[in-house]
Amino acid sequence: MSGCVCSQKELSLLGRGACTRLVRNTRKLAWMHKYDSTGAKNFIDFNDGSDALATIDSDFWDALLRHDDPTKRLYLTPLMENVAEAVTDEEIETMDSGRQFVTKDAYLTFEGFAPEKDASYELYREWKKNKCADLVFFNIDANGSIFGSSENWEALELFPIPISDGSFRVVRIPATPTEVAKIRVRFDWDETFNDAEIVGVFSDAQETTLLTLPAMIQTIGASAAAATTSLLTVSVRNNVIDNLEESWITGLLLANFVIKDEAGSPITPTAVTEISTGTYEIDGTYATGENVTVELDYPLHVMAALTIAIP
Amino acid sequence: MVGRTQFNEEVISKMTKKQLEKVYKGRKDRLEKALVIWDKHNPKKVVKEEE
Repeated sequence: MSGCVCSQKELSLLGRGACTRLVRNTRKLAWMHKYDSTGAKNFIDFNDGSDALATIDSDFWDALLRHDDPTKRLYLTPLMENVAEAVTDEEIETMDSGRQFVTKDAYLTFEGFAPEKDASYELYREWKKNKCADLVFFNIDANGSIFGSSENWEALELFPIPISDGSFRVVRIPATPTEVAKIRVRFDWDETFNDAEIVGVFSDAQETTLLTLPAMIQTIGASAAAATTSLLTVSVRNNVIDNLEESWITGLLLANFVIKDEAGSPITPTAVTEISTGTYEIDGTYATGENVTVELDYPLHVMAALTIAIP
Repeated sequence: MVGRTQFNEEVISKMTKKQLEKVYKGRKDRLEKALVIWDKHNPKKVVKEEE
């Protein structure tokens, strides 16, 4: 993991711990919106409630990757290939006296490629849709360690690292006879961010790392017709650029819909029919005056719970 | 697949015919299919005549 043998205590003579954990090259990125819908800054809460590191297992990550509120959700890229993070030197003005002043700080640029096999067209459209959003990122290295900002690390809150405004760019590179199709992702880390504040949760503190988890396809559910006490009509589509390019989720079955009443108790439907591409009639018994919620349980897809009022 | 209905046999088999008729009121095709499923799980009791 760290590539360091713990018995090599003489290393500490060099001013480092005897078993230093190394940061490996970036293989994935996780991102969030900088602010949630209430205006609060987003972060990953690693605090278990008693100021100790939480158990970081698949449930921990799942709660973030499938957060019901898209503005609080954690988004994940597939494995990135050929990642290059280059340092762009600072710009310095040198006076006649020889004194120097930094006019622009050094910063890191990021470039990585997601091969078509790992990155669906839906994911590409999701990135395109978000290119102007206020995105902030976490780095995930080849071991699965995750790195962010130490803004409030004393409370075990890992904040994302900002990128330069408008620098997030994605482009789809078509296949050639010798190269697979891929999506290129580029951005500049924010030059005003103090990289001395980067902290991380190393892979050996995690039972499950984000390295092993897939990128989710974001979907939106909507009530497609007036509900009745025996029928819900729900459409499910990808969260894409605009309505001209809607991409419907087809082939959903009974097990893919989780229906709950106002008290949170499950309601088991009697049948599901895909009446048109991506639109489903869900038969069942729904109480008058209640708000029922429809959730999606479909691998690799995430959808905020849809609330439907029963007249 | 568009147009295909997936019925929940377990739920349907535990409902009463009256409940099914209420769920599928005005939807004859689906009610008929649901009743076929219901019948499959709730076979009529055969009463032997006393000899």
